[in-house]
Amino acid sequence: MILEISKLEKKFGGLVAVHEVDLSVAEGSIHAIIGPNGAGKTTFFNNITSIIPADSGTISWRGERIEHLSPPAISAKGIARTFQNIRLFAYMSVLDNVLTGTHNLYKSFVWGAITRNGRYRREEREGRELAMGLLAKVGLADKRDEYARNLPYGEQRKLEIVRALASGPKLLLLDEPAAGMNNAETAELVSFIRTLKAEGMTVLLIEHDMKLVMSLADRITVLDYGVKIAEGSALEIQNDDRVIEAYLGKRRA
Amino acid sequence: MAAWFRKFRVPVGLGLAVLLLGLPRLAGNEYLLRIATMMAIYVVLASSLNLIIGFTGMYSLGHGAFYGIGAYASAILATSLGWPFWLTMPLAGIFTALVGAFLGLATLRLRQTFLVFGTLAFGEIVRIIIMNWPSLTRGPMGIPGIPSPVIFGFELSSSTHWYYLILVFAVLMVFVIQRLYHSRVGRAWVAIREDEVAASSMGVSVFGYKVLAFTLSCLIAGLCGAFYAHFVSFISADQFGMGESFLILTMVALGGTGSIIGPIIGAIILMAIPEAFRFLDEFRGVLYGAILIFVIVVKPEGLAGVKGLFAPASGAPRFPWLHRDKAGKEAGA
Amino acid sequence: MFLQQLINGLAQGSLFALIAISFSLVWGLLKMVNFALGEVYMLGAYAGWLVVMHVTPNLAVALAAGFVAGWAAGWLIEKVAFKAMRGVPHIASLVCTIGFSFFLKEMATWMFGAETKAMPSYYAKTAFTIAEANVSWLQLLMVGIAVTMMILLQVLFYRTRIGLATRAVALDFRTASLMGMKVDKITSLAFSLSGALAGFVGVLAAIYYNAVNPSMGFVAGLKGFTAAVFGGITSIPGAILGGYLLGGIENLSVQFVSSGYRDFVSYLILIIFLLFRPNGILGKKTKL
Repeated sequence: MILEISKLEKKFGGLVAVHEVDLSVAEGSIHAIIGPNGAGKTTFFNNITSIIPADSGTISWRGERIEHLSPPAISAKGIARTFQNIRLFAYMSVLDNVLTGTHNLYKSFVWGAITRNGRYRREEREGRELAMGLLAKVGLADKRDEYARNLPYGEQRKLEIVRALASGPKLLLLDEPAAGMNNAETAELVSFIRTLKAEGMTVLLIEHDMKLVMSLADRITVLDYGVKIAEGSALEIQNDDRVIEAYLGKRRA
Repeated sequence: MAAWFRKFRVPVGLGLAVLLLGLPRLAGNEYLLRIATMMAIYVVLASSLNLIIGFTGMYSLGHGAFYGIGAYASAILATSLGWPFWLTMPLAGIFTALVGAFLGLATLRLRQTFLVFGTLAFGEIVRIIIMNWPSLTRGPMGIPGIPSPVIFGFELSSSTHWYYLILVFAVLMVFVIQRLYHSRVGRAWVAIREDEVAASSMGVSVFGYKVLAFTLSCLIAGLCGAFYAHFVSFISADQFGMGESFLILTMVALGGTGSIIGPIIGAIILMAIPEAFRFLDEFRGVLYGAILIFVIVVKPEGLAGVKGLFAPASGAPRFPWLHRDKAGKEAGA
Repeated sequence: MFLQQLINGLAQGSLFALIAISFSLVWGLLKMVNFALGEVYMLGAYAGWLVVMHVTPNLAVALAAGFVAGWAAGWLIEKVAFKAMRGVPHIASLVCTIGFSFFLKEMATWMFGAETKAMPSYYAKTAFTIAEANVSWLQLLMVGIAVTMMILLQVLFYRTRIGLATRAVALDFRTASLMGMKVDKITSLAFSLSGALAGFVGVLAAIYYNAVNPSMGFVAGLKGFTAAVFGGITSIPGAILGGYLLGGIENLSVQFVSSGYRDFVSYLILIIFLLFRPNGILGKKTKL
């Protein structure tokens, strides 16, 4: 289990957003988190990456406790994410967005930037190659100098994923990556995620698109009102009474 | 327009170089040359303030104070200890940077509104300290007789000498800023301006880079102060108060936040206005205030700025009453 | 001496408290600051001065002039710096009010000259004496006026419908507008009232210090904001507490530091509170 979360808890004043949630993600697997709106899924992601630290509970990443680390530190450990409402750097070029994703990989700082010494030039070159390679994979290479905000929605989502991949993570957290996508785009996304898995990536994703979840996920966890109500394979989840109730309400007698 | 620039980069650059180098000849008189020299100093000051405002999105009203700290530091070292300009100037810059780092560490976690007031209060505190420490700063009397720099026994005395010296300084500083902007450091800064949460998630230490921007900005402002002090040979605290901070801020706001060329344009325009329109002289302050109001309302990012900081949250048009369709109804009403 | 400082502190505190309330009114509604409030105060002072110099020495008329001038200025600033900037990040409005602050100050300098002009005294005679400290009629009047203003505001906000509406908007802007409240009009009213209060205080201050000067707004605005942060900018009682505390501390500080450093003490308080307790003394310890 590459990621082990135990009894994670997060309250906002009187509202319990995440309540004693346990989660274990197997290395190289695709693990989905589903649940009705407001179930605490994005908060859960925010807790993992420490953007909003959890109140209590433990998070172990490859055997190391990370719940007290800052977001940049967690990113450096190999966890990258995308956001539910796309958070690209709008007035930055597509290429620069991805290059920012590589921030942790390199070290050149003020002196290097000013003098453009050997290390700086080498790192810029490597970074650009890496970024262009990733952009080519998703067909965005020719838009490298466009402002990110000028891209159509579907391409913005792709860019966000590519930016996350730029840091060379071992775990990718995707928050509703298929939101707003049509069937063709969703199919493209599914095959892209499968390719990532084949390359050894572990993926934890939040999604509402059930077809995508059921076809991709090795394991599914269901949250409702911040509590884990079910966990298992796609088939098990589909037939779980509690899950059905959470989404559709109680069966009439 | 930027594309046009890029295409004609070489001839424009060459023309500019000829213009700048030949200015003393072209200008013909000392007075204009001194204006051009001050313009160059303000180009650097505005560019350095842009590091904070345009690159990281934090507004500071204390830049005049840092300019003053650099000026006073160099002046005091030169007049009390007799140290040469080539020593006092970098030391002044470093001292100002240290003060800036200290203030930055303390205040850069504040939200924007409070940072503005914090830097404003800081500026006032600096002014009060200068005024009330006569043994160090001669209090309200200011410091006269700040000596001119000496290179290899040759003393810089004429306006032409000063013009070239400060021109070199300005070109160097703009060059450095431009290199920083187009680098890993610059990307981190712009990422912070665009979206702190995303930047943080990508591995950028937001607070650390904000402090870096602030410190470098103060370093450059301090250097400007040192140059200024030796250029005009007399300084006093009231030259570096809120009015000065406001002027530099307006230069950045008018010319454009977040771009390299923006502050340059802003500095040149605001320095040129009182010269081009002499009759407006007593009206100058009113005009500057009106300019700032107008720019922010109409084009908040400035003439040549990057929209990043001021992008409207939603896609709705800013001025609905400007967008009536043919039927005469307001769009989106 | 100590007692005299305290009494002076109470009088000056009244001024600070009222300016602090002006800041608090706008902050409570929009979570934004009108940077130009100090200059609105200065405008009001000049309005009062003009009345006294050219129209009538009647104090009430002068105060009314300050009130009206402030109301107009507040109204204008709201339209340009806030209403026209809906949807743009808040920082733009703040910078616009910075522009207004400078514009108004330079306008006053251009119209009236930079030199300080004398304002006649009113009620400057001593009312009574406690120990060795004198309390002037004016000081009594100032505290009295301040308290009256505070009571009036309290009545306005807690006993009238428009006050109720304003409190609703302050608590939850979006819901209030969804409920059909005329949020625009309420915002405009709050800004105008905030400006009017500042202008009114300006006249009072001009009388207290016997002077008007285009730069008087800068320090007053900064100190008024300090008082608001000090006591708690989110509430009017906080603004009041901050104002009187600041007045007291500043006046008493002259015992310990030279008078040149008097302002320094206030600014130091501002920075300390911004850093460690931005919610102020009375504010909740939540993320501001």
